[in-house]
Amino acid sequence: MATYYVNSGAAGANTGGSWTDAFLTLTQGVAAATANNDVVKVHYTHTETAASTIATAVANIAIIAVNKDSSDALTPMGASGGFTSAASYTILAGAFRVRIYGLTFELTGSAVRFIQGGGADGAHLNYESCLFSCVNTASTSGITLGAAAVDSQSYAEYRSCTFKFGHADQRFFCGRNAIIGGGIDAAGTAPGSQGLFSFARNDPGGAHLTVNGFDLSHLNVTTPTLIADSTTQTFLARLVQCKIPSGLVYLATQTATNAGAGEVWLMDCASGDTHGLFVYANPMGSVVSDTGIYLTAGAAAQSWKIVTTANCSYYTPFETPWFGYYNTVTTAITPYVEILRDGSATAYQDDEVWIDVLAKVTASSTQSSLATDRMTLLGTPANQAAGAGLGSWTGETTTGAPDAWSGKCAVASLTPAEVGHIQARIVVGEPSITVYADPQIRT
Amino acid sequence: MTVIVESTYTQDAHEQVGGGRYTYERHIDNLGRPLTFGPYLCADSMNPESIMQARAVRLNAEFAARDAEASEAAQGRIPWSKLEFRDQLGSATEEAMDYFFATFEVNPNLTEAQKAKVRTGWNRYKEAHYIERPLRPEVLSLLGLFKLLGMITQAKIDEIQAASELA
Repeated sequence: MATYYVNSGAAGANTGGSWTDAFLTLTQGVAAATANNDVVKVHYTHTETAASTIATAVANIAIIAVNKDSSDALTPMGASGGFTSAASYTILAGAFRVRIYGLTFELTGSAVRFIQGGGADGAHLNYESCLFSCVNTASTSGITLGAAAVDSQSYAEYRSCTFKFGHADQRFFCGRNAIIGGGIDAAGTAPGSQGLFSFARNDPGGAHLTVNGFDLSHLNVTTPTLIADSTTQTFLARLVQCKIPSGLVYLATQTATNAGAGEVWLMDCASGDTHGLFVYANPMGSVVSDTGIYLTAGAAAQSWKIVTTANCSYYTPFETPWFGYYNTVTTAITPYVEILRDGSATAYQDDEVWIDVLAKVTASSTQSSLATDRMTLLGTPANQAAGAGLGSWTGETTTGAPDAWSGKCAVASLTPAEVGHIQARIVVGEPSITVYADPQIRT
Repeated sequence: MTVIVESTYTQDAHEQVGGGRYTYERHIDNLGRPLTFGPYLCADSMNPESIMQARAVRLNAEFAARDAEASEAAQGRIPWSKLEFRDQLGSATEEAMDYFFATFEVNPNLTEAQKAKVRTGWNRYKEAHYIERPLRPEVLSLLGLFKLLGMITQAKIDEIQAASELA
């Protein structure tokens, strides 16, 4: 394991063997790092005009910003150094696994350009404490987190990184990425007016983004949008414990009008001091936590507000995520979920709203069996059963006589053969309706 | 050119525990396609009307950018709307075309095979949002059929085809 040194301020032999003789460019340092676990140390004030590809990895290495004047202490460049260009550039080529700590990458100018953070086919990049500063002012410029080309299997992770933008319409272009910590720099222009995360370029179908503990509060104030129209690429985006702005639209209208377009999940994300909220959305519909209307006896004083789009139907319904119940008995039970229709006293029918239940009813097997109270195909719709009653709900419309309906979706009695989790989901087959559901399986 | 022609929003009557109401927007473009946004949590300090109008402005800007890209890709030939295409035919041909499509199913001079082709072609025309330029072969075939039926002259077809190739 060797160490190489890079410092644009060096005036030595440019051989990379010491700080005195440090390489003047990162490309030299990375090219010299030919053995796995080699380290390229970059002095934190190093500056360089970014070439179209800054460097090409030839081994699995680490590139780390340090302060050569402080015993090589880890020191992110921030505004003190970095790589700058007004032309698009790729940070690192080469199908290798590389950690990049503390470097700064800046994109200037006014023409449409991109910082390419993602790697080549086969690359695995771990960015840590880096600054990506897209101060370029073109509306469709951005930071490409994902692959450097289509049909690429690559991964890039951004840990404790800061991202800065130069126009309200700028965005991230994603592939197989993870963002952990860090945030959008409030000193830059608030991005994301049409969608902060886009999956429309670079990666093939299967783009997957996870975001944990990220500060997204500095998004376009007027129309903050989380996921842009992905047009041609499917995606899965999952955000956990992030700070989001008020008025955030989770999913822009997607070109593909089916569940294959992609889905977004937000767990425990909010703009303020409200915890435990949940969001799930795809082009067929959405689930959001509603703390204004909920089953009074339900947990966490919230319901799932399910809103379907015009894209769903009885035959191709909107399906919520599965939620579970830990069952401890092996005697007959009747799993059900309480639901509410607000603003109308007309019962929902079993071709409009129903549940699917998965339970292990076969002994000595981990395979669950599916039960449902959906109307039989080609059958006749029937009202769902009455629920706990309007008096058991909080916040429903009470003007009118009455102006809400309490019901439940229940499968027929089943006998679990094994102790363990039972799963259920709410399924809505009627387009453009709203159903409130208590997301708890009761028996 | 695609533009938003109608924007509406609805908002929950009830508030959320942290303040704010779930709000849902619906924008309709000039081709009748809906674009929906939400539900999003509109804080008490925010004006959903202003947000909706601002989103319509941004959508129009995005449409214009996409149309410009498509125009560049088509070398400046922005597709015709169906109305613009009908204008190219002239009123006499237009009326004859409308009569033909209204009566072709009972036209004794057409074979079943011919009716099938006309039926499918007519349905595809109805489904299309616009007429690409330069004209697709199936559109030229349609004009050729009109010529056989005496509804249009070759000179007029040449004129329309030339216009479809202008930037």
